[in-house]
Amino acid sequence: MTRAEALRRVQMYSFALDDTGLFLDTHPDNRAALTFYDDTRKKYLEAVEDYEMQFGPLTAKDSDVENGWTWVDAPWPWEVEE
Amino acid sequence: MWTYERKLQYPINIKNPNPAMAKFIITQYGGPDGEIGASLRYLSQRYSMPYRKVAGVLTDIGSEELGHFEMVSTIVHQLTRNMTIEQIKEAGFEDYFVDHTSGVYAQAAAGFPFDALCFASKGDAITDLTEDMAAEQKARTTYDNILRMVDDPDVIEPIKFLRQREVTHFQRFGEALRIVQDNLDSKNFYAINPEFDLR
Repeated sequence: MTRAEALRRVQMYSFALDDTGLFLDTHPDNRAALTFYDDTRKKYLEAVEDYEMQFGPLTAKDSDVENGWTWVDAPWPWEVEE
Repeated sequence: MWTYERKLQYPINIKNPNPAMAKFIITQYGGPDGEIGASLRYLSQRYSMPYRKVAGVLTDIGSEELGHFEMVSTIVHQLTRNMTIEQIKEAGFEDYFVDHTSGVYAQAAAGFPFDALCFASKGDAITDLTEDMAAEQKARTTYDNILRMVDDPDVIEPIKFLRQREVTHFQRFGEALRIVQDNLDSKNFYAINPEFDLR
């Protein structure tokens, strides 16, 4: 998977959680939304793990410092993707 | 406290710089109905909001708007990178260039700088949520106006995404207003201000 493809999976599941979470703020007992949130959250965590293993941390606190501090080396979100 | 995620909420990859477009899209960064104003409006209104669910809506939408001003700034940045002086003159971008070069600065399409007057926080639950619903519609209209003037699919797609979020947020704020009203006297919603009188 390319960096763009791996990032797209994270963005897709992350956005689904943003939107469903907001819906749950005003509909906290909606069963269908809770089930969807739970399923999507599992896919989101997997996508984040896949991305971070290959392309580095998505948040500073996900940094694995065994190979030094790489947080500031990867492309920033506003850069046009290669 | 917030955590920075190294990603945009929706991808943006603009192949062809176009400073003429950046000149008016920048209004959704620092203009009167822009994303900075939206974020700070909702995040400021949270503190005196007595209903936890409604404070949650303000927190979550206010945080999402932080991601939206990052998206609008990214669009402006990508539209103005690698410009030649020729392109700057052709696009009528001289005024902005002289003041900010190709730095991203919070201003309206008409050139006036960001003004905190655009983020109302009145300390009254009904007043503030009504303001928020109007704010989402004003931003939606601005995105509709932008969509009338852009022809690059790399710009159209993220602008359509941002426009749709305004519609969704309007809906959630409407539900938040309903939650407030459900807690008030149904014969007179204005009998008290729950942010001041319910202490």
